[in-house]
Amino acid sequence: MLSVKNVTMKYGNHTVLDNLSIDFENGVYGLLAPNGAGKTTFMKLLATLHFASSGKVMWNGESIAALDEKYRDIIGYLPQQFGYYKNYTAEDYLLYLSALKGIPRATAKQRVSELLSLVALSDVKSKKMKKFSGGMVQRVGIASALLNNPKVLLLDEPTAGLDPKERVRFRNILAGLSKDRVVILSTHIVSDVESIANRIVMLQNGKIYCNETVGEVCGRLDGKVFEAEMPAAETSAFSRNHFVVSERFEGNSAFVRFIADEGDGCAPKSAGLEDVFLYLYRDSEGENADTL
Amino acid sequence: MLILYELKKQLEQPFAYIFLAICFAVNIFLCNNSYSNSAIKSQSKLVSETGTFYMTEEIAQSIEDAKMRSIAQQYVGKEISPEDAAAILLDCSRFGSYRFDEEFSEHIAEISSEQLAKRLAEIAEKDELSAVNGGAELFGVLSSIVWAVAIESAIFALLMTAKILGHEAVSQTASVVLSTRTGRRINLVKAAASVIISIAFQSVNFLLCCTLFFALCPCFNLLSAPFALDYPTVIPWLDTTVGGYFMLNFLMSLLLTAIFSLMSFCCSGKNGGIRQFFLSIILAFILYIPAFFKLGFISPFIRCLTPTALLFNQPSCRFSVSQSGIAVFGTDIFAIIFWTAVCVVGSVFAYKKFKKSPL
Ligand SMILES: Nc1ncnc2c1ncn2[C@@H]1O[C@H](COP(=O)(O)OP(=O)(O)OP(=O)(O)O)[C@@H](O)[C@H]1O
Ligand SMILES: [Mg+2]
Repeated sequence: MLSVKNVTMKYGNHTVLDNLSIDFENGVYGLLAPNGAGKTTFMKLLATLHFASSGKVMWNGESIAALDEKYRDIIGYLPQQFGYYKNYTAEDYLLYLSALKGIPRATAKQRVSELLSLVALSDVKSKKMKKFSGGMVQRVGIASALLNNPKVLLLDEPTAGLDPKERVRFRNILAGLSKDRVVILSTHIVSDVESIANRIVMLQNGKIYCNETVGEVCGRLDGKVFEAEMPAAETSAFSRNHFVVSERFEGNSAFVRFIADEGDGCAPKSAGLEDVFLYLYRDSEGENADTL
Repeated sequence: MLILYELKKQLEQPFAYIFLAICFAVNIFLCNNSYSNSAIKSQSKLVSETGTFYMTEEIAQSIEDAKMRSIAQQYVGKEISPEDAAAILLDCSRFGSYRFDEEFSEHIAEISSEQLAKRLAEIAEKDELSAVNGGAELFGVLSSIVWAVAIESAIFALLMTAKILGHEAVSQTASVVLSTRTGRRINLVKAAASVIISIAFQSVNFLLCCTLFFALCPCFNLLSAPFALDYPTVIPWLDTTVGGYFMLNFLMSLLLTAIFSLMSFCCSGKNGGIRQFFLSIILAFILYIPAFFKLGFISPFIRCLTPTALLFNQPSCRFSVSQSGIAVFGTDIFAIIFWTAVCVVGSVFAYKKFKKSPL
């Protein structure tokens, strides 16, 4: 079990994580927060790339700083922006990372070819990575995080650049993996985590705002999401007085989805994760957001 | 295992081969010094035509200057080319140990080889009063090759690390690498790879240059000319030939290149390789400006930076007294201070590099 205890992380005077505590059990956690909220910082902390200004991270009761190589041996980390050598082929790159992870060469070869077929890159394994598309590179990254069959899988925006087909494939891979390991998946793409994550973790002002199942999170807005039908010309006036989530135009009429305590006779809708996200982080930086 | 990847990474840089080609092109100019090459060639020819000359006790004894005499004494019974002997004796005459005239060459003829006498007579007759000490001349040229090659590989090491580290800084490979089990040891591996590559570069460059030089100026027989240090006290057992000392010089320069490339790796900051880049420009100036413009006055300063100056005095043949003892001594001291400073600064950087936490 991975537990984060009272961690504070600062860049100079700017506090990114503020006395944050959370425990991770086996399963997929979707770390959801807007840009600049500190997702990457949090992931780096778990990947031992940053050390907390105060507080600590424990793996099965031992501090990860003390475990050092033993801890790094059981994690797989996919950074948000990950570097690769342009002249390496996908296979070379994965073998190189296996060497870094201390996997014996014979085992590594086997594992690399397994993973390449898992991310559907077997056909292009001998192609230089500089000729890869962004999504292909991202898939190599996903494979690289899985090389050492990690107990803790840290994926920082893994689905960025993947097409829908690959997203689905990725979800299925994760679903298969999540039984016996901690998977933490950071994203601000709500639909990504909605279907994959067992639990949603939202960050707000450097603290954990919630750590709940999708249903529980959405339950916070139950009976507060409505859809109104009105002439298209009235939408701008309406959105001045209401918190509008989305607008859809059909001919001269508009369907406006909004969040409010009272529906004023409009049709109630079931709340989605996106509604919660938009409502929670309705001020751009997420800093003055209200609690629900 | 990891080191193979690091080596591969470096060997795949087209830059390495381009730089080697550039060095070779530049070294053609350094190797092709028409003045010393023609002197060396003619001497080599003379040596093969006239055979050798044995230093005798009598000649050694007749030298007045105590230092020269003691040096000559070490050669008693050994082979030395007539031209070298003539050069030595001419040197002695310049410093007043010998009065050099026809009478003297007859005196030499009585006690020594015909060839030397003939050569001395010729010199006296033409009133040349100059002979080239072929061994010393050859050594001068060869060690300038060693020096050039050493500096080139230092520049190479700097640019190469600048390039590799710069690339890694830009493409942010660190976060992937450092989150792996052995990733934190990668700096050591990289440093080792960069040392291996720069030594390999230096050896190849050296071989190319030597091949070029001996093609331009065939003089293999002079490689076995006797040679000793001005200060045999430093390494008393070292009594060798021009070729032998030349190789020793080269090995020394390899060692220093290894130190240098380690240093150049360690002094990198967060910005990748900016520092290396500027250092390499400074080094290039040190190497090429005096070489191209033949600025004699800089050379004592330059010479003390040569790798061999650290342990040995700058190359000079046993009998060459054309440099004043004090200047040579100063060079020695300066070289030791310079290289000690280099090593101290290098180890401070190295300590910081390998000690500090990764990000
Ligand atoms: N190296 C750094 N130095 C100073 N401030 C930093 C540094 N890295 C991040 N920050 C700041 O910390 C905050 C959190 O950044 P972080 O990258 O963790 O956000 P994020 O949630 O991953 O955002 P995104 O969704 O854009 O990836 C931001 O305000 C950012 O400006
Ligand atoms: Mg991020």
